[in-house]
Amino acid sequence: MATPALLVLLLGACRVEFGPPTSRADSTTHEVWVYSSMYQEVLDAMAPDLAAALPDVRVQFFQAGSEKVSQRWEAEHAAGGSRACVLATSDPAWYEDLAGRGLLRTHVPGRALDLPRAWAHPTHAAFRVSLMVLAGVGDAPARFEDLRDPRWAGRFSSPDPLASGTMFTALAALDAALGADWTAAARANGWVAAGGNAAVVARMQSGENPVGIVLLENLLAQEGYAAQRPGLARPVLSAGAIPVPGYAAIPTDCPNPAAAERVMDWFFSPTAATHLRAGRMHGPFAESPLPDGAPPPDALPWMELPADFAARTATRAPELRARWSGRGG
Amino acid sequence: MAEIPGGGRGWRAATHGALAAALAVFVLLPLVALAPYAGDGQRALGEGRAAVNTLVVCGGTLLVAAGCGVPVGWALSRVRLPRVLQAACTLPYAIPPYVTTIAWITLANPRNGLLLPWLPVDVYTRAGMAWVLGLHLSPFVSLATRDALGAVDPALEEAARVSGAGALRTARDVTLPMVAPALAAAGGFVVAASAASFGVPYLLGSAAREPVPVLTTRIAQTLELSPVDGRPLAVTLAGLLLLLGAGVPALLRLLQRRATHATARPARPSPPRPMPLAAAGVAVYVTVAVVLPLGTLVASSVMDRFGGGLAPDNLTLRHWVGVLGDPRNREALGRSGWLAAAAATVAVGVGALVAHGAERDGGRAARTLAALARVGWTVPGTVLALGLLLSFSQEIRLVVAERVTFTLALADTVWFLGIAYVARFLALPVDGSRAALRAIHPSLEEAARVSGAGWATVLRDVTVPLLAPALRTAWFLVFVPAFCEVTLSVMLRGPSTEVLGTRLFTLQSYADPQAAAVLAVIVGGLVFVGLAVRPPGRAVGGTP
Repeated sequence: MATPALLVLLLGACRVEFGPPTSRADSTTHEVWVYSSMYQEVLDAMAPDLAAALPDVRVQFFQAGSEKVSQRWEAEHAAGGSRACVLATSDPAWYEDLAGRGLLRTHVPGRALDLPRAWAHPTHAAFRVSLMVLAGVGDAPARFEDLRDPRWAGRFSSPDPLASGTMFTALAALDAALGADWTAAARANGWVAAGGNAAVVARMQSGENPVGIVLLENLLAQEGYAAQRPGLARPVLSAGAIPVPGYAAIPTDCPNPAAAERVMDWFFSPTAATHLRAGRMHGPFAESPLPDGAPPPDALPWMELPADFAARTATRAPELRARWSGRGG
Repeated sequence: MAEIPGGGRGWRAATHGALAAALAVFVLLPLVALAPYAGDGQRALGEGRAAVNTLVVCGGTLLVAAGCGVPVGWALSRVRLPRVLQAACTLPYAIPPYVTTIAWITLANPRNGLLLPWLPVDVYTRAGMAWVLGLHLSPFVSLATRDALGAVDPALEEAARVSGAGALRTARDVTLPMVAPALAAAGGFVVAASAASFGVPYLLGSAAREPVPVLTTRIAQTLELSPVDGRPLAVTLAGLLLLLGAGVPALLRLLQRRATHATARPARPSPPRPMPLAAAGVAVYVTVAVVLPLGTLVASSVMDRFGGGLAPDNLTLRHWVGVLGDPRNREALGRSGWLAAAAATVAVGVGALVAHGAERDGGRAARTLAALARVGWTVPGTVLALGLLLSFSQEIRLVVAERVTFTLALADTVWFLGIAYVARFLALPVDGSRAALRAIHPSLEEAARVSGAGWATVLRDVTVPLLAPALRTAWFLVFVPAFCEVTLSVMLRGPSTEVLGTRLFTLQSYADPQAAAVLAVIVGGLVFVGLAVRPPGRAVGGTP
């Protein structure tokens, strides 16, 4: 009885098409799925301009944190292929990993030729930059190095690097620049690593952890930030910023690569840059406009990362994660 | 069970066949899809600390939930309480636990928690996790206790009293054995739910100075930064949780196997009596479990910035205006409302039938089906979502004669979310109904069948009316978490299927925690109004 019941149940839930069967690509020729970690507000604002620029392409967004996007894409890929045609998240090591596994198509948008070498690869290129900064409400350490000082014991927090690609990249940069000893000492100094960037800002404002490592865009989003309202978290300019590139790439199992290339190219356009700026993100080009209220690079210098930083991070990620979670390394 | 005269065998077989098919496709298939990834036993052995923490948190949660839930459930059944107080008793379950956790962090963090001047508390501990989870899950126990006591014929207790037994002895020898099946089921749920819970241990365990990992947080961490390499360990750890989630309820069932049937006929509950001391106790529970965290959320929602306190110049309604004015929030609220209602209705219907098969037919197939229905509840949502994606992210096509194509395309549809919710929460109506069925003697159904009623007629006219309070409770227990579900929804939602849980999660983690507080207060308010209008499981209309 179970077999006929199963058939009836499944057939009843099916879409029925009459005529010769169509292929997966045929049925979605004009559809491009973008899996992105950019905030929904930014994607919503981009959608009409994308539609106007590419009227024959129907762009669909799946929005989630970088780590959720990678989980979903990997599961779909393992199941036979993802519908995602453009990946646009903020976890550089994942792109290195995908490229190393041969899962990204070669495509370099014209504008990407102007990018710094570290951010342009044959298979993926940065169209935005997130800045992780040291911040505080009131008194704060002058440098990241100082976070191992007992004076700041238990007073600082960050997003969880085991759950956030951006924070993991920042941790990898700090670990590479300041050494494993610094990471261990800062961790032992009561480094609270939990939640997302908004939670870090909330902990700073409430005084629970008045110092934080956090995305600059979340600081800029505080109500009254531009008006210098007291009690808000502000970046420590002397500590500089860790730039985390947000890549775009086209997976090899994208059903519509030609349309995907046009969508990816659009992300490097001046129109997209306007939306990124409105979303308080930085652009990767020297001439990219700064978000409102963001300190200029000469006031908040960006940490110099080697050209192969992302590749090295991808390689040493397991060791760093194990060390961070106290499981060896 | 001997075959009883009466028609409907065909209907029964067809129904059970369809149920088996649905569970095979939507529960078993995702598990089978995950099975090839299991096997990283070596690394799993290194997670002993997380496993111990999980057990400790589960035990503590059970203690808090039972310690609060049993007396409150007794009071709900036997004490005359204001309707508002009755409704408030189920509210701890209605507020999303990860939002309540934020409130408890504000109240009881060891640095500047609001309670510190009076209580030296630290919520970033295993005890803190057990406290928050236990309060959240206490309505499971209180509703089960209330329903079970409602099904106890007061004449039995009166008979014991008349025979000279004191109140305590009556409770121990008469009442407790009769409510034991329901309490065991609720206890099993509390353990399984706390073992599979992610948000509370994540927020509290990772923010501790010495992080407190549990199995679910290790699974999530493993999957989030190593979606491919981490899968074997995650699936292996999920298998451990599955054992825990299935083993504890089985053990509890074993312990109360000798429990007697509570009634051979519909009980007439004893009327609630005024007991001021008991009512005051319930009020204290509501204050701690509802007013404190909800009040903190309300305060957060009207603060311009955290840390500014409730000073007049820091008060604002801009978070409320922003949340109410954002059409995405309204759409997500509406979508989650009907989706959760539909999922709860389907889950209760399917769950009651599965439970009936397991309790009354008693065959191995029926019991296997009931066990399968529990799986979604005992594995972490992230793992279930992974299994569902592996199984259904691709279109499944059946081409007939090259002319007709049947395409099952679930990915990114609202149906996918609905199916996932049913798979996740099906255990609640199954176990709730099983416990209720155990307290109803089968002779009532047998009598109807002997009188010529078919299987469907017996179900409709005898079983369902008797089960009605338990089914309404189960509906509520499914609706509430489905209304705010996060872990499945984040992974499975499509571009036009944003739901309340994903809005709350985005606001809380990435954007504006105070706006998340506004949404949480709205959710709590809506559920409170619903509870005040129609309390779950209360005998209404047809309930004897």
